[in-house]
Amino acid sequence: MTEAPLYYQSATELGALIRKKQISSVELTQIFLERAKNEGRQLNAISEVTEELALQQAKRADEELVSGAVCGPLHGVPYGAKDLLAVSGYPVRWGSPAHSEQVPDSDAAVIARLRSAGAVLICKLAMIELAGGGSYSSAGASATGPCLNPWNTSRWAGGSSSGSGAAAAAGITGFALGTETWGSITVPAAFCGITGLRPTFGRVSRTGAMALCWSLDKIGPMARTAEDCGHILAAIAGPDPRDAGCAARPFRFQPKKKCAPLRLGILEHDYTHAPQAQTLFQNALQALQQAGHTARPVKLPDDLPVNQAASLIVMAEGSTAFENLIRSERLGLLADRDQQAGLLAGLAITASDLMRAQRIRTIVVQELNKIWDQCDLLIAPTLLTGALSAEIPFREQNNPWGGNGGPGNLAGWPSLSLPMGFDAEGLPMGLELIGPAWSEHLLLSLGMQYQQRTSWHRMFPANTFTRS
Amino acid sequence: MNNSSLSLETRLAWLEQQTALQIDDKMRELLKKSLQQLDETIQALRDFPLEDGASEPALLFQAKERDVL
Repeated sequence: MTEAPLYYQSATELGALIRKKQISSVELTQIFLERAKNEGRQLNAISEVTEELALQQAKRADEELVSGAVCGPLHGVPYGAKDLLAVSGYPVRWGSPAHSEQVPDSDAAVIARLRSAGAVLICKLAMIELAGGGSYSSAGASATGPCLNPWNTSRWAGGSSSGSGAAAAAGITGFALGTETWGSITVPAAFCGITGLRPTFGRVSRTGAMALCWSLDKIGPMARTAEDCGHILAAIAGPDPRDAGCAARPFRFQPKKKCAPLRLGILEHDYTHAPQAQTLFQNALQALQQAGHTARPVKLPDDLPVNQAASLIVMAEGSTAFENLIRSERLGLLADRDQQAGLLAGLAITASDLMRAQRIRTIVVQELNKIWDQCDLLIAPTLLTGALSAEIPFREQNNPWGGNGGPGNLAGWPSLSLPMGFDAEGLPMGLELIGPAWSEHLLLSLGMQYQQRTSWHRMFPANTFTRS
Repeated sequence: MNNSSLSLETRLAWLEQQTALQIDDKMRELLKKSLQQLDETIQALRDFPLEDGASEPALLFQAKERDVL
């Protein structure tokens, strides 16, 4: 492997270079701005380049550095935000052709917090329209077209935080923010070969973020390494009285704290049609066992309607969140007709069916949480397949999906997806660690240890993203 | 409104009336499919035993002081 160009360094490394004055934030920002305008556009990963704001923030970061005021490890580091996060004075389009004219006059809480941490916002990142509300049928369900995978541009970057995955993987931003309701951080992280952290529900304020599902939406970091994710989470986490779902819990990242031996519970999957995922997963497990952790199979209860409860709640809340759109002719502007139909159908859910799902959720979550008597963290491949085609509708692709998103998202558990290798086609595959609520410190600690013992997170794609 | 005892056509007509949208043939087909999937989901939830007068629903915003949802 050749030495990584500057723009493929981790956010932690970029921050260190700035603090050591080996490069200025303005210089670094100009490099990433160029990449956003060129490589970012080639991949359909960009919704808006925030050049004026970026150069202003970078200049301030450099001035603060000269005066000895360092805001933290992300000081001066350029990043991108999923285009459902409000940035004052810039369009927030939610990936939707029906929402192209919105310009907020205040910043989302996470944008304000990253500004306080000294980070530099260089772009808004492409996404699946309305974060996939109503359920979408192809990669093209976005105002910016299918977001292409930097490892193979005939493939999709994943969704709904598509641009966040592609930008972090392709060295278009130093790191990115994504959001997850059900799989929208972990899937693009796995497809793009980066590290993505889905925080515990309530860990990060959603003030100023588009709501898809109030009881499931989370905002989290997408970056090169687990250490990056820890620094980013530390910057964005914490109480916010404006978000009723945001917990009164602080988060402190301790990157130097050693990872104690953990009991890992292996989630079962059928690998009949996914031998490569199985091999890569076994290798990852072996690396963790060599580090002193124990692993044994565990089973989440399979007699509970976990996915059905999650699915109904997402559908009902999503159709409520976008009811004005659904009841207007603007619904027809959405790129994906299946999604239009799904949103419309959601209006037919009765109050009693939604309440039934929420009643079942209480019971299901109590049952799911019993798994933590048997293990400290759960472990499995994030998905059983590499990135899907960017052109073919999903239903015509017979890839074995796998996935662990239903239980974790319904229960509000955090999860970390890390690169664990490549399939025979050279597509990245992800390893998922899932923990009980508020266990991000464990996930990050184990993730960092794994990345000290492996080099998958150091790989970077060929630097040409012309469409194949 | 979503009640599998009502025909898909009845529910489609209700949605059409509720939203005042012009639903073309293609959208009608997609909607039927979405409603059928929704019926399956709802049925699975209805098959799950719940006691009358008990089983409090998960609250939307209870992360504040609790460890888990």
